[in-house]
Amino acid sequence: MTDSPTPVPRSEQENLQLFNREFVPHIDAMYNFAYKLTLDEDTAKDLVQDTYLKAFRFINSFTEGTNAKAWLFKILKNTFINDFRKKSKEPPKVDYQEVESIYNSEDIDENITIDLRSETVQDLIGDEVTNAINSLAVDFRTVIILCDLEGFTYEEMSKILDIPIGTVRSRLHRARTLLKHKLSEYARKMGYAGN
Amino acid sequence: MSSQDPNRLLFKEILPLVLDGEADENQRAFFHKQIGDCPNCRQLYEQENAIKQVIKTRVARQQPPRDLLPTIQQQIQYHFSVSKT
Repeated sequence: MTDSPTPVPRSEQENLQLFNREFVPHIDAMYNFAYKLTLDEDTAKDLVQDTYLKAFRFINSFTEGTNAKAWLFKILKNTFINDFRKKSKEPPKVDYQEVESIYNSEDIDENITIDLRSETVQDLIGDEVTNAINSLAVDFRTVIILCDLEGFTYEEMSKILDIPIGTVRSRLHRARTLLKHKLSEYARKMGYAGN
Repeated sequence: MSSQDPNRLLFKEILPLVLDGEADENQRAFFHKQIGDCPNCRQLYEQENAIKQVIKTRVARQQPPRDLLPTIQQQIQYHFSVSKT
């Protein structure tokens, strides 16, 4: 990202080598992130392509040895917001105020009373969890993907998303609570819960 | 024990930090003590941990189409050759 030492100018040939060495290995994670944001294969492909072209165009602002994956994810997220968001298959818009009032309770039992035992979670198959994540609003599924799937730290997420760490934490909390409700509904429908 | 017990409220705040590898030593020590002392806290930990593990291990990763990387590399090479001339 941009908070590193001043980048040393490189030749075009060095930039090309750097691109192949530092950026190309992340293409699977980039495509997966793009797909999870857009929920469409063709749009995800265009988004990754645009992101990599931008990354090459601005490669002189990347400092070798810094976190290339986080740098690329930030470009992808910004490209998605600026150029792709309107085109994506977004689930119905979330009323953040409503979500906040429902799920911001300070009562620990609020979580436990969600009928979802850890054994039940382990019975869920990947498709069910994937569908539940995909049904979350994009800002919520983004934090879950970055944290739980890609393993970014709060600080890295804060830089990728341009939000304070406190907001990363509260967004993660809300996203996970919503996901838990969705998984619990899924489990109930499938007859897993209440065993 | 009341659900407003400060230890349980603190546990709820610290739990994601522990699961996400963001907790400091004191927070981890408090977490371990609390899951020993408070069955509800342990239950919540097991639930949250199970969800995190299921996401990490069972959510399918979408594989990029085979022509994606060659297309990008072709465009970069084109840019490279144009900028050299």
